[in-house]
Amino acid sequence: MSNREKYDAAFLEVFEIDAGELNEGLEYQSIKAWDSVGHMALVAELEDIFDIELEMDDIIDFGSYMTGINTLKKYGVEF
Amino acid sequence: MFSLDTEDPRDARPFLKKGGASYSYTQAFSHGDSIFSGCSRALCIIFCKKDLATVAAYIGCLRANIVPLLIDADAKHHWKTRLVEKYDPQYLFGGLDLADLFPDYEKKTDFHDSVLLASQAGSKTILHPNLAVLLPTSGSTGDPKCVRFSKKNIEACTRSICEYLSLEEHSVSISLLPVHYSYGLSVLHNCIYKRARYVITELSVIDRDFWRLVETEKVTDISGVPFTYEAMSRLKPGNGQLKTLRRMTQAGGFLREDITQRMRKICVENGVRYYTMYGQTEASPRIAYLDPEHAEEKSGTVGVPISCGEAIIAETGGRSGRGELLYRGPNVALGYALCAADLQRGDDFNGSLMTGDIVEIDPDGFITILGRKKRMIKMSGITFSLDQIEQELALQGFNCAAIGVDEELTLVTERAEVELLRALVTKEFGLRGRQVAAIQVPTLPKNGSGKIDYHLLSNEYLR
Repeated sequence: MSNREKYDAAFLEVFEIDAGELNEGLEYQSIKAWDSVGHMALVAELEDIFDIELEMDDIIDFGSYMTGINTLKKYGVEF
Repeated sequence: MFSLDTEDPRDARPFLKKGGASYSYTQAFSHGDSIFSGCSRALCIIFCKKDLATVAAYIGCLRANIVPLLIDADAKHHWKTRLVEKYDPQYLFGGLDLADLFPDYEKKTDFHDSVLLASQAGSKTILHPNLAVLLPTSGSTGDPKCVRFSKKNIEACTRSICEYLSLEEHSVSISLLPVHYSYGLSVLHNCIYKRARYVITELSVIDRDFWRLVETEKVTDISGVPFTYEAMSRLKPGNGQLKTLRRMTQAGGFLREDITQRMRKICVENGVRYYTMYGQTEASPRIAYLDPEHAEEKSGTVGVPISCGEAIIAETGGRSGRGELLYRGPNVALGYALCAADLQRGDDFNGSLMTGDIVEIDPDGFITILGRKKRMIKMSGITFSLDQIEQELALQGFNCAAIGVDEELTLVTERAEVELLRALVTKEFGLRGRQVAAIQVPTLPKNGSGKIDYHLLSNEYLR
């Protein structure tokens, strides 16, 4: 599985959404499941999958599907 | 209560703040008084939000000798109407939409974006003279069961909490927890008792603006539930975020020991005192606390009873040993209510609370929670009765057995539509998909007396 596929799978798994609901416009609080609790679950899942540990600023700024990709790049995850 | 009805030289101090608006104690009292001006003793349901009006109305009730019943403004519509039917309150206080929901009530006054409605027919509910506050036992299962508190209960608990936390008038708390939740309400009570500040916000610890607010308002106290600290232990806030903080308290359910350890480390490094606490709504709500001095030596425990109470092993009457925790103290509530008629009742508990928690008390008096006797679990800080969940689902046509531990509900059913069942229960009770599992079995196991064998199911299907 490519990193992009793993990244997408984390969203589907954590937020329990269908692939059709996953798009580049997805943001924090744009769907019910992506609230504060969902946010931390997503962070936990991504940290596990990519074996990284995000800094506080990066967790807080992880505000959308697209910013998340840039965040992970900072930690050496290639997309 | 908390000398709310006598003059205090500290009343000119700032009290509430939300966004750009702030009230001193004197202002909050006078707003509360104006909401209920001309009202005599009666029951008022307050549909709570995190705003100034909710706090002003709550204080207004206490000062006017009106009994507030606090519920979540976002609760399901059918639950709100069920509570109003069961308790026949004279007054309702909440958002502007309230008038449409309850056509039998007419507008008496408004305050900011909230209204006070009064029953047109006139409430027939009679209140016991010692009754001061009502809180529902469950956040969202739709059970109209409430806990009845006297002023004495709340004062005793508040005094003990303020004492062990060493709160003072320069403390600043922030409203991570809603006031319709007993732990959240006690945070507000502590502030009022000490004439300390209370910053109201809807933000959570993962919002950048929350930490900005902590800094600009010089927040000294954060009170959170397990989720708060699960999130914080990953966020790993440092001196930049925590420099104004003096204390953090955790209650509202079991927090994994490794997360507690991580939080303690963060707190020690930043000069913050970290308290693990244990309680139940029925104890207004505090029973025990573990202070930072004993945190290492007594890790894994919930500490010792608060100063006004005592912990006893119910089966033996002993001060140490293993068994069901019996808590005694002046903060034990008066009792329960299921409907309006129960509000005439006096003190049913007599200061003794069978907690339903199986504990071990060590020779030094430190309590370890081993498990629950009652079929109750906590999800995101809210207590759910497994029996109540079963009953609600049965009403919707789903016969199933509910089993679980904190943060993990499992439904076992003979029907094939397990995904539908999961979707139904998450929606109905406001749970998260990850907290709920549904399993189909050919037949639900029964024990000798023909009842569902929960023991067997738990061994089979719980982690």
